[in-house]
Amino acid sequence: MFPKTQPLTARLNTLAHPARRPAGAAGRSRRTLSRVCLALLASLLLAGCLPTAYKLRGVPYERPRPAPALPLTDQAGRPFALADHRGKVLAIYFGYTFCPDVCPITLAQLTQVWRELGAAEAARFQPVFVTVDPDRDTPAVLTRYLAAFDNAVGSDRGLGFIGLHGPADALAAALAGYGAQAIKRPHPSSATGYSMDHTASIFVIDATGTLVEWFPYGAAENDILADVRHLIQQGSRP
Amino acid sequence: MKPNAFLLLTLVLVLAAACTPVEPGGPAGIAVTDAWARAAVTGNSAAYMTLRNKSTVADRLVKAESDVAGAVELHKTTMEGGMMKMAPVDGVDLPAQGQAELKPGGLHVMLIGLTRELRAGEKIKLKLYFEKAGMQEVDVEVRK
Repeated sequence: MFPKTQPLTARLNTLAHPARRPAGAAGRSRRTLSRVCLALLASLLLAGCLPTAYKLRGVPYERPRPAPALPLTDQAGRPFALADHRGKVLAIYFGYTFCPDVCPITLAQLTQVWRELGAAEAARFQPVFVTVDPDRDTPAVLTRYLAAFDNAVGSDRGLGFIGLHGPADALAAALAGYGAQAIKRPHPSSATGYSMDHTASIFVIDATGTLVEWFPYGAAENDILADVRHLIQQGSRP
Repeated sequence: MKPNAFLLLTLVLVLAAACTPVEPGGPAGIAVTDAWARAAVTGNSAAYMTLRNKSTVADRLVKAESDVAGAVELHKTTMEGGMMKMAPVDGVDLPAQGQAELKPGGLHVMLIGLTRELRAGEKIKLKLYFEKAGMQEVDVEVRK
């Protein structure tokens, strides 16, 4: 409820017992005083006079639930399991590499978020790109495509973008879990052949593996960064 | 005219000519400004720009060409209820003395099947074909 209560108690006790004197009559009265102070502080907290709880800037789920499975394979051919990424904040984006506009914009945003995080934080942030066009986005294509974003961070820390693909039924299951959609639109007169209409939101999973919120396309980079940072800090608390 | 006055007049004229902004695309054509394309290693990219029709008759961008891509088409991205949709368009309308903006998340010149990497900082050539104003070649800056 009040994650601040414990450190505050500790700090108050240190204030009340600077030299940790053995409890005598004076000690007892000091303890009473510190209890009164604590009660006062607690009511202040309740009244919202101290910094209030962080408010997520994306669209939080009313009922956060364990993140739906992504029964797919990464670009190196390894089966993907969310459980392998506990302790990290995940940003999931469904898209396709053929898309020259909205998808690279979003991936560039996630790359930028990663870049803004400190090294320790960045190690706990994992962006995941799920292709909705597995026919064209083979593992080799995904590897090349995502490497461009990895390289763009210009750092030897390595962003390590995960690219997931899988057969139609597995993809359909993954999409359904997140309430996302992908529809193939043929364009016979275009060199693209077809495009994929797809949900362009970013889904955010916290360090406990809970799907906590999503961001619509066009969300401000700073808002994504603030939430990711908050969730990373929350995830590193005991 | 005294030689001094003549020199002064020449100087003023030369300076005036140098300071007058040259309208891109000539006095009655299409002005193409802020043209840029997204850096990409492989696959596809998109080019964006602002097109301003200086003529008193409507015009239309109907085609684009570039040697950095296997095919170049005019496309439009739209967002509908959180869904991203992308489809080719026949052309981009330019009303008389009006303008059209090609920008991320909207109209763009799609560069399909890049023949080489587009590196941030370099410039690529793009040929734009207008129904009335004809062909115009523009320099497009590659950005991240």
